[in-house]
Amino acid sequence: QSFQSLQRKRGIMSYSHHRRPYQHGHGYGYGHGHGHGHGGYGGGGSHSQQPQPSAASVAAAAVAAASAPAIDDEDASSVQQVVMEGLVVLKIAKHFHEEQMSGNRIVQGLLFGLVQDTRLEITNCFPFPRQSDDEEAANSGFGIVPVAEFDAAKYQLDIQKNFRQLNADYLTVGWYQSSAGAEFLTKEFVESQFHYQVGVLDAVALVYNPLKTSRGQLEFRAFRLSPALVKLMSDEDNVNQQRMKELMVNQANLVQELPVIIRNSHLANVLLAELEDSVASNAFSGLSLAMGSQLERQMKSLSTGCEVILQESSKYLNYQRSYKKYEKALQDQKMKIVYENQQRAQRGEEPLSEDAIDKSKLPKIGNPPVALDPVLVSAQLHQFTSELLETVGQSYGKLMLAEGIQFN
Amino acid sequence: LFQAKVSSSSGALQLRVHPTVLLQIIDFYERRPENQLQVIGTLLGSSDSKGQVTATNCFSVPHSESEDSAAIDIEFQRAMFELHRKANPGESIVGWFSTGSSIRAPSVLIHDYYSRECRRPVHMLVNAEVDDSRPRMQFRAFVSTTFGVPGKTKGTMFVPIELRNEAYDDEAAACRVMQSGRNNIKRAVSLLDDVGNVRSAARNLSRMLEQVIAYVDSVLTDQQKADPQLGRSLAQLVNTVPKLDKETFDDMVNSSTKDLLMLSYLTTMIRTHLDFNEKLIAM
Repeated sequence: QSFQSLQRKRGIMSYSHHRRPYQHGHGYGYGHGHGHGHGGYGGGGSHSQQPQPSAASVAAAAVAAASAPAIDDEDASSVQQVVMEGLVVLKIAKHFHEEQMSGNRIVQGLLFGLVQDTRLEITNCFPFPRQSDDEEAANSGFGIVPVAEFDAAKYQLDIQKNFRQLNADYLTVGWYQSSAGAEFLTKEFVESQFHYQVGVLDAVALVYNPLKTSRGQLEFRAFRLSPALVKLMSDEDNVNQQRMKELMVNQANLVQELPVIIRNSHLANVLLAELEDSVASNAFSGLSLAMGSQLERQMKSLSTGCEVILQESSKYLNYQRSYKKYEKALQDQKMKIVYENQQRAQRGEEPLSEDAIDKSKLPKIGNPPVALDPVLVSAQLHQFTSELLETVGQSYGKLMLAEGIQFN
Repeated sequence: LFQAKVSSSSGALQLRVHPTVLLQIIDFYERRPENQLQVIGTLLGSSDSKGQVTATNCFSVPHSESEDSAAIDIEFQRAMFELHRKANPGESIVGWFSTGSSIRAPSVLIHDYYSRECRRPVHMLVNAEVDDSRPRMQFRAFVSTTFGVPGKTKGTMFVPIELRNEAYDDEAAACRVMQSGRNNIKRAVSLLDDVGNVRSAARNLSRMLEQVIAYVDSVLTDQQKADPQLGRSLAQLVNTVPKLDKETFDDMVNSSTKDLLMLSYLTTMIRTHLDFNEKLIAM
């Protein structure tokens, strides 16, 4: 099979023959809120036949996104698998490496690509600039943008405009974030993913685990919020215990994980073959038996998580107790009124209405605790436990290996 | 292979390229518009005072060229550069790349433009046309110098400089993991979990050991000449396995195993507790 004819085919057909434009009923607005605040919502990403998005159409798309139609089960995304290109893998790894050298632990960016049947293909990505709440850091000239000033929507639009000219996919299909081990399931994560998912139904959050890369493995995991959780969160004021029970949102049901595979084009594989000798890395660094620090770190996250759960439980119990007291006092007052009414009826006077209850005599209760938080924390703990079990399994395997080598 | 040329007369200029750059160039090349044969773009990175230029990122720039002229979309170049700079302020323009098999006349004009953007632009030429007669890709790097008769006609000439591959550890590890995609029918590389990784590493190790054993066997049966260098490294290899007697080794393995078992027990217990807690709260 001639490489040249293959490559020419790709160039001349300019990818339209197997990369259909992204067609989806809902307009693709998108927004993002991450870090410590919420960025603005932005519209954009037009169909390939339309001219570049003008300000008016952007605003319109933003409105469309803000008033997204009610989400029902038929809208559940049909994506079963995420396919990444090697290009994206390298870009994310490089981005993290460079950010890490300047001390930033969380690294985020956008993902671009398209959806095809049951596959979500990620073909390109672009990092977000470093953001920080610290005014001083922002003005120090190292390119750190203060959160308030960072216009995420405009940034995203700029990238998309430029990508379109380069004939690269410009449709946002999600975002990526680095995380230390399994520690990514925070409130901000869920909120950001919610915003993306509302805009683009198939949006995924790609989590990159750089700790594994230093041991010679690659770990990318793709998540999206379960339809139940999306339903729950779309009605912001009503995130309480009852709704959660109705929608059956529990810690196993918060996020869905999608399998990720990496695929490269033929030419890219040729390039990788060329690089095989010159870009060497220790293929066996992962076989080191020194897993102690790793396990320690995981245990520590686990124990902090447990403490948080304990706190949440006690908060909940306190709330329950005070609610009971409130109820009881209310009942007492009601009984008193009924009794009064009986007496008054005997004496021929008018009965008191229930409004006569003196509300100020009732004990105070605080706000009910946010129901989603403990579920989130327990889901995170579940991730920790899985990660720990995996590491344990791996260490055990290595021990067996060492034993085999020693006695043969 | 990468052609290491004589370093240019004005100091040992050297270009180091990261695999990210190369993969991106290939991607841009594949996506080029129908009527274009080549793509060009900007190289981003850093250069140090000793003359080493490192290219860590790149982006392609729409352009058009003919026999003797070239036009680049300068606005686009600037806009993209600004975007990249926001994301990573440490990267600056260090040169430009082009695909193709040889330097063409319009390249001088483009190089001229880039000399205005950066102090001493490096031009990288990538020949991605691979076929049966020419199965290797070619990567070359050049800088430009003026030459000619002083005082009279002057011209510009591209002088080849050394080009090397370099990568961050993360990038190198990623590249290595992706190598397995070559042998797969669907070109898919699935990411293994922890145990899977140990398994594949063990398989690789055993394969390498088999090769070594085969070599030793062939030397012993006089089929191959013994290489003393190789023999010495082999002896070193065998000696690095720490010599412990069975008891000590067993003790060590047992205590580690006990630790691991305890961890997995605790973790499973925490997990059951979580589920239990959940049920309680839901009531």
